[in-house]
Amino acid sequence: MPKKDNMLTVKELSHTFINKSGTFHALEGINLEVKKGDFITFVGPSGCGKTTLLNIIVGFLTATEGELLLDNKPLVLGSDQVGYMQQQDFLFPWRSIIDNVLIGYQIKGDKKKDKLNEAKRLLEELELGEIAHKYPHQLSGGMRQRVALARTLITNPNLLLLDEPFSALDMHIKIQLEQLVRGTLKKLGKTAILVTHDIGEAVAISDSIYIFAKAPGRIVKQITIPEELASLDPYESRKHPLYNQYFDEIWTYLDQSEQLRR
Amino acid sequence: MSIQKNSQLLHTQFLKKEKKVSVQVISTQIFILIAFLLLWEVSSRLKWVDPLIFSYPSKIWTYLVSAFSDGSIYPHIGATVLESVVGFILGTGVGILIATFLWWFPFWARVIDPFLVVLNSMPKIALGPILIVMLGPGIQSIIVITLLVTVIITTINIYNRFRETEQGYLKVVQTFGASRIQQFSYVVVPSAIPTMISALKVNVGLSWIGVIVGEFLVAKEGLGYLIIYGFQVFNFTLVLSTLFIIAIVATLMYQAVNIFERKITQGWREH
Repeated sequence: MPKKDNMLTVKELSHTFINKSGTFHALEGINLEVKKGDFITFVGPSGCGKTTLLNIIVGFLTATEGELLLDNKPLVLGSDQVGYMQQQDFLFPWRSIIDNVLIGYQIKGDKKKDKLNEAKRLLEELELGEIAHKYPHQLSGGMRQRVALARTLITNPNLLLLDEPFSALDMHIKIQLEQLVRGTLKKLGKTAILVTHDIGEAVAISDSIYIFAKAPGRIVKQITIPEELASLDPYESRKHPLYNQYFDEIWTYLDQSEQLRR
Repeated sequence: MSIQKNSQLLHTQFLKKEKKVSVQVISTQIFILIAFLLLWEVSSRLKWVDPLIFSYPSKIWTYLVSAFSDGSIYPHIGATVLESVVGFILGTGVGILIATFLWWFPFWARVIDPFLVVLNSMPKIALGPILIVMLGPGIQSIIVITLLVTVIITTINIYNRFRETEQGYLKVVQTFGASRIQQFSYVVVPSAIPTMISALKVNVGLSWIGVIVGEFLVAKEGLGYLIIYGFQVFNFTLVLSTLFIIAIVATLMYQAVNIFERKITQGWREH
């Protein structure tokens, strides 16, 4: 297998929150290397800093210490390289679906007309072609999150940062969307980082998993999912014998880090 | 087949019942109105209440018919409507501008905050006499009084809405590299539109207070002037008739704002 380039490199990163009531040490000594095209996941208990790390990678927060390189360049908020999805879809209720999808272009100052066809094509691809002129309140939760995916993909980012985008959905819709997101990103050769508290989702969707512990937030273990399991889509993956094995392994690590604190 | 027929039947029955209730509500409303007017007429005629103050519905009606048929009322309605429309649009507009300034410069928002609180609790109408001396008696004073009555509360409400803009929406546009102006125009303003419209609605009511009081103080025409004139010559038929016109015109204005609201939020909200 050819050696893949690094999409994202994180070196000795620490972060401390400071506010009126004091300071909070959120992350300590984080080191990460994410290869191009990989789908990686952060799992861990709430308060372990996994979302903070994602917010630092997006650029919402600046780490108090450490280095972050995106495609070997320092990282800035709003770069064309990065796309971001949240737990809620945050579709703008005052914009039609197609206008929601086009907002990224509009902000970057491209002419809307040239991109209209591309937006339509993307909606078709995500099976949303029919609803281009509807408004968000007319759609179901799963559809809305698919529109949010289209909105994120339209500016063609190389690194997708996903902050629990599946966790507010029903099981059936959730797995469908996992399939769609993973399938689409793999097809387009995108790199992705997913934050989740769902162990099963982590095993089913990822190539590699980072387990976090808290106080201070740190990475306690990195697990690479073998090709045999990682190559399956999230639904098939859940039925594979190895799935339970990895589920148990992560479970044990989370238990241990929980006990350490007591 | 039978299930379909049955559900159709249920639906027809439901609609019938709904319609019946609506008819009952409307006829009760009409009944109350007529009973009230009759009771008023009878009370005045039998001197249960002082007819000098309460007049008679029949006299009010006669006055209204003549005032509208000879056209003498229109300049008064026109003056008042002009003042209050200019007043509430100006009050809302200036309020939005100040709120924008405060959102843009958070430092100044913190500085100005206590002053806004004090100004908001002060009855702005009390500044009327000073304004009249400053600006002279006339429409300009009335409009500025109305502006003062509406602008502070509008500023406070809209600034608070701007500040509470959902972070998730801002994050979406920030990841596309939106500048502060873009964040403001793509997210902050559109998500505050419902608040702006409710400010507009509140200001319709407030501006009527400003205009009528302003007219009490200075005007030579307008509905407020008619009321104060009626009071001075002890013609309470004129006072009550004018009140009736004010109620109707203010309601129409409020409905116009409602229609405006539906126009601009068309589609993106269920009605």
